[in-house]
Amino acid sequence: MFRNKRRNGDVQVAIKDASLIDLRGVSKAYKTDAGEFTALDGVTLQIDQGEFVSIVGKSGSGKTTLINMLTGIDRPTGGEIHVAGTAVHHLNESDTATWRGKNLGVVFQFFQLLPTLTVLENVTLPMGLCNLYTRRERIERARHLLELVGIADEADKLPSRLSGGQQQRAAIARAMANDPPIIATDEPTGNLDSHAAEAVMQLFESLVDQGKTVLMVTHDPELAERAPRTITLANGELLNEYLVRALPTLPHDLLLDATRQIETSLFAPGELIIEHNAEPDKFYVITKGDVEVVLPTPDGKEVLLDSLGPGQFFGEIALLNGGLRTALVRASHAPVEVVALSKEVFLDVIHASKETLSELADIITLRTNRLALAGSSQ
Amino acid sequence: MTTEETNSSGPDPLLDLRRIVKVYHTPAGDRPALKDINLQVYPGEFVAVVGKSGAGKSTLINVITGIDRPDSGEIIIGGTPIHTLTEDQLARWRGKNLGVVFQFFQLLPNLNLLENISIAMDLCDTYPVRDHKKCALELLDQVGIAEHAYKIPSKISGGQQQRVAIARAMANDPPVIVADEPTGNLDERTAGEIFDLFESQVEQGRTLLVVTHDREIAARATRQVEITDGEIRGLGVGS
Amino acid sequence: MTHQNSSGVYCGSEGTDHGSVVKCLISNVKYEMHVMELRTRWRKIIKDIWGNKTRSLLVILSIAVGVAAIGMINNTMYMLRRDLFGAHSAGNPASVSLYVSPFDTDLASAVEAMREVESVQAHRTLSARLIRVDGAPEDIQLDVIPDFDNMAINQYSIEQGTEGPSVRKIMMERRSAEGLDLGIGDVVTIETEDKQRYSLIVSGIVHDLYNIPYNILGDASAYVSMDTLRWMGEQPYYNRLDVIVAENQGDREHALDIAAQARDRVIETSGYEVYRIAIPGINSDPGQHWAQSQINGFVLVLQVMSVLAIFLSGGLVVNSISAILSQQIRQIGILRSIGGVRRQLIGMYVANVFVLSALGLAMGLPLGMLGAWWLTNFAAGYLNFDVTAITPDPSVTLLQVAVGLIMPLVVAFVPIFSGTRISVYDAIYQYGLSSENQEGGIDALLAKVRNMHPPVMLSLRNTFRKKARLAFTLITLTLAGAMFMSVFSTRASLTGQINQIARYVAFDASLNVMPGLTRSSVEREAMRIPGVTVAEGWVSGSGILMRADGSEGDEIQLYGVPYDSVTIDPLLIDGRWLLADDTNGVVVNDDLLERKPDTSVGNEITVKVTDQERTYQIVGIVTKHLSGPRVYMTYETFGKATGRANQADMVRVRLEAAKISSPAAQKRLAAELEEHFQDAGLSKSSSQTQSEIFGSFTGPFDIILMVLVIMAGLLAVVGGLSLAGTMGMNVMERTREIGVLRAVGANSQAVRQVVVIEGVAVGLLSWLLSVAVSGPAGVVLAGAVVYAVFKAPVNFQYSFEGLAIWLVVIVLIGVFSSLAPARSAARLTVREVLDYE
Repeated sequence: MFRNKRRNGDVQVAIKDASLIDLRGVSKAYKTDAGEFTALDGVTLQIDQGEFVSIVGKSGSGKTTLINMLTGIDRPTGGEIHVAGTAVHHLNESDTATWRGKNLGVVFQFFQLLPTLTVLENVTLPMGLCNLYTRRERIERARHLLELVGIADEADKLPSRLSGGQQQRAAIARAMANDPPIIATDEPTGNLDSHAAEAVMQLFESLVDQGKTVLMVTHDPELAERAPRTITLANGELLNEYLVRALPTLPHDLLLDATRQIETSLFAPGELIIEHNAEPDKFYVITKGDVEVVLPTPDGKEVLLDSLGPGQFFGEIALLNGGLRTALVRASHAPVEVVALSKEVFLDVIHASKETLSELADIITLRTNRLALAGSSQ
Repeated sequence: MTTEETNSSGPDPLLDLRRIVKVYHTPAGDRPALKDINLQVYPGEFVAVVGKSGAGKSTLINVITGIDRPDSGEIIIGGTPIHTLTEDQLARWRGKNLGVVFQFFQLLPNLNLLENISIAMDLCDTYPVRDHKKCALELLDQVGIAEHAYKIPSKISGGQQQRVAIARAMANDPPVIVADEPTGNLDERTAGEIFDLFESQVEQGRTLLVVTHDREIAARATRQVEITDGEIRGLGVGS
Repeated sequence: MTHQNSSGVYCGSEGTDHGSVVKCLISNVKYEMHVMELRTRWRKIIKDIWGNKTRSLLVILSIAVGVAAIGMINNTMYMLRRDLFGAHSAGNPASVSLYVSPFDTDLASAVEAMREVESVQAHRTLSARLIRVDGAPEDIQLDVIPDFDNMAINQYSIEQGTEGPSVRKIMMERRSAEGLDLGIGDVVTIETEDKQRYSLIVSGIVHDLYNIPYNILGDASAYVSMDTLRWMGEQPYYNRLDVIVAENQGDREHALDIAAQARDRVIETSGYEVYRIAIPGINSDPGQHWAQSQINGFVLVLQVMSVLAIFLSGGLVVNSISAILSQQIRQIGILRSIGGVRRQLIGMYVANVFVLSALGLAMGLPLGMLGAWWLTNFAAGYLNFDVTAITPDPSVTLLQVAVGLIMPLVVAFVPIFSGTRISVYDAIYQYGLSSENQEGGIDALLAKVRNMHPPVMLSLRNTFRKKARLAFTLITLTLAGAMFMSVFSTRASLTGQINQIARYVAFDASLNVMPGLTRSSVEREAMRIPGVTVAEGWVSGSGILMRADGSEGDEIQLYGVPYDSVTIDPLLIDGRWLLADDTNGVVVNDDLLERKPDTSVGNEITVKVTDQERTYQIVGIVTKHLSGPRVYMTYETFGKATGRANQADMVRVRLEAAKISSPAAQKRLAAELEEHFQDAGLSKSSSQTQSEIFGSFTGPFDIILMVLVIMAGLLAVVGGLSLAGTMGMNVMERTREIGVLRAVGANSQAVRQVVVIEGVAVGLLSWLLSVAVSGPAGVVLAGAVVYAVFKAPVNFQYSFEGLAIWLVVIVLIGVFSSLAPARSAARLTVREVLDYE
């Protein structure tokens, strides 16, 4: 309710509840001699402070382009990008670099430490470029950061004398040099063996614990899972996160179809979403809030079958097995937002993927068993 | 194919890697990239080498192509022990016996597509000079981009460049083609098309070895070899 | 765009008309030519050259510069030798001249009869004045010979007009005619010493190679017949005998010896007096052009410069080829991966260099010829000779081809060899943010300099990354800087040398007076001129230096001077100047030492004056001052030898005792002095100012210096180009680093700074090295130039001015040569450079 309301007379123009990172309709199109190529198409998303987000997608899905947009390394051809209060898409190359120095730390796949500077100097470099701290403070701070990442002993060595894992840790220390709120990284473990990769991931997790926002592009599903939130791109478009969470085995092209055809609905607390014994018409995935799945008993009471939250789905049983709605679903004590697929779209999509179908079948079996149990207990 | 079959009257492997070890010596310590690799690939196979980043896939490919040298072990390709060849001998051998497709295409930027192919023919002298152009055009046609023959690489898309790279790898009609993450820089649809190309090559009798981190694409090969932390886990000698 | 024809299309089917058959045939031929193509590898080379025009052009230009420099300088020398020195030799140049009391042609015949003498030519030379239309007087030398049809020595040619002037006719030397704006038919007014004026008509224009031309000397030259002289009231005698000796014609000592013999055996025994014996020219040897040693010296310097240009262009070529190969590293890896062996690769890049060299040669050959044409014509105009044809010397062309084709191939071989050695792995995977060898001593030193402002630190470390490349650039810049500073030192030394000589003519004006006057009257007369505060009467005479064995040596001049003279400020090499009571002590100059090397302070010299031998003690030796061997003595000492203690032969005056006056003031004083003394009947000569004396020197000096400065400037340009090329290469290889800088917050200014600071650092480093080299280099250059002009050793003066100016120049070079690469570095977007992940 208080969203986007600016109080008159306020000197602060900061918008309450505004996200740290806000993308609206961001597109990137390239003109090549082979025609126009769209890398990103109408991406809209928000990321709040303190989130650990992984950005995944197949090769060519646009995930690297997306993070390049967020870091200002690339510029959109359409849409707006607001990061830490700044309209990044308006800045020129030079100002972007200055802004980036203060607000964003970047960690590359190939470390990209400057080979002629020592590890310590690599870490003090961003501070010097942005004119932060005094010279002595910079050195102290850099040593402190190197200690945090566990390579304090290597401070005065040249990068070529460090292992890959150590170099990446140095790169993370460098990214932290100006204490930016956001860390962005693209395939940070791509050049590391499993042990070093683990150490690096733990570092990222500790950064998140300290309140930093970490964005990580990766093609490794195991790595992606370590981030609480995953953003998926397919062919330059954003897949609905909750759809992905709900139906993870669905191939990306089908998920994309589904994302394009979902309808979003809002329900007030306690509002009915699915009526018992109604005609099934939609498949639902929860994006906000909780729902209660209840089986009304003949005597007017109800049995609580399940409580579902964001990323979970309902309404599939009747659609797949045929027949009427098997239970009642209503919003819980808070407002609920769902995205829904129509029956036709749902069935098309599901039947196109054997794996998803079989997984759904298992879940349906589970649920119908519970139903039966609940029903028989009456 | 099981080990028993190879010991009997089966065909000899076209690529035979035995006890390959490769250790990288960095100032920060030694890092073993390949630990005792044994791998046999038979004529006509389409082998996908998969594994996580840093597991050693690229090192393996580089050792097979002779671009990198193992610290110990043997590599015999088409009967030639390439680990004993000098740089120049390797280069000459590669031109005629092994086509290499790189992840980043590695085309010569100043030459047009036709010339990018014909230079491979020129260096190896496989055909008479006056046939170079004709043969190169045919190859471009095979990979489906003959109409762009006179353009330079920067004027065509990534997928098209990779096709040219494949055509170049075939220029001297080698029996083996090795590709390192050939679709790593391409979108899904184009990647699929490239793999169609690969499959057609295999149908024509070529042996193909492809490194990829993309499991879906790897599934299209006839055999998958998995590398983890420098070692081949299972699937080493065909499934 | 695909080729439509296939081979063997038959062009003569039924019903086709001729036109289309022809078209068909033509397109068949085109196809065949197209098919008979170059192998792809040569097409690659051509496309590489065309694709990187800037770098290719840089290589071509560097080669062209070296080739052109050689061509210009050496072909000029060739043409000079042919058209100047050759023509000079062809006209029978005199070995030695004797200035004799009035004589007739019989004496000439008598001398010619000597078997040591090959030929003689009698001359009458007369100083006069030419009164211009506006009344201004010009000094003019009139020359008369017995028979214009039979010139034996120093033959001049008549370009326009009649053969030999008749009565009342005058022939002008062509430069004098130009300078005075006279042509055939014009009337000139000649004023003789006794102030009589005569009108003569210009009947001919002469080209005289043997006299210093009007534009240099300032005096006009003209030729008249003896009849005309008689008509002008002059006595019909000759006063100079030019002689060509029979043997050893180039030997200075021999020529002087023969002249002495002629004087002793023939001339003086016949009752004549020989006033002076001299070898024509400025420090020339017998038979040489009057400016030969100066020209030789000048050309020597230019040749040194051209050698330097070759080295520098070689350095530029190496740098550029290395750059080309650096750019090509990835491609070399690709070529090796698809079958290219080292031999083929080397062949490709050698061909690359060859094509560039050929283009450079094609550019440099005509440029060199153009330069030779310009320089030769310039020299011809200045030295008054004719250029017969602008043709190159075949051996020079051969040299140019060698330098243009072979030198680049030789210097490029090392980078090509090492560049093609790279393995496929390194070429494809390590290129870019690779770690070069950082273990050197310099790097360790730099590692100690830490934690400064990041761009500065990065720049300093970056400077030393590619040590070989840095070395080449440094060599180029250091040479340029050392040359530049040497030029300034040369200028300082030359100026110093002139100032040193000036000490011996420390007057504002001087005037020769008539013989027999007393010194006191002369000085008194001079003091009467308003403004004059110093007037010294000097007396002089000639003597013969006696050798230890009693034989006669060279003629020397004796001077009676005031011991406290103000108009001479002697620089003593040894001993002391004259004292008031020196009766036997004399001071000699260093020129005398050349004639008698065993001279030193404390020794004695014996001089024969008026047939009496006198022995003196040397109390001091002063530096050379371009006036021949001299002995300075007090009036009394002079008087004892000659009996002319109280006389004066010349007066030297100054306006102020404290300093020398300006040239304008000197000129005014000289005119007054002359007029005053002539009116008083005390002198018939014209007066000289100090600035006039040096004017004839400083002219050529300034030209030499100007050329040297221009060449130094060119070297600076070449150095700047080299640095620009290096910086461009460095930036190109470090694009990833620039991307990283951007990624961590460097704005455009910071990125530019990193590049520019590196450029300036290289420049400053080269400056330090230049300074170290400039000392010895300066000594060598200054020595060569001064010796060429003065035939004297240099008194080297190091120019700190040159040091300071080059510091400014090198910083500017560093900044400007880095600006373009810096700008392009700043323009790169992060995405472009990090794309390659």
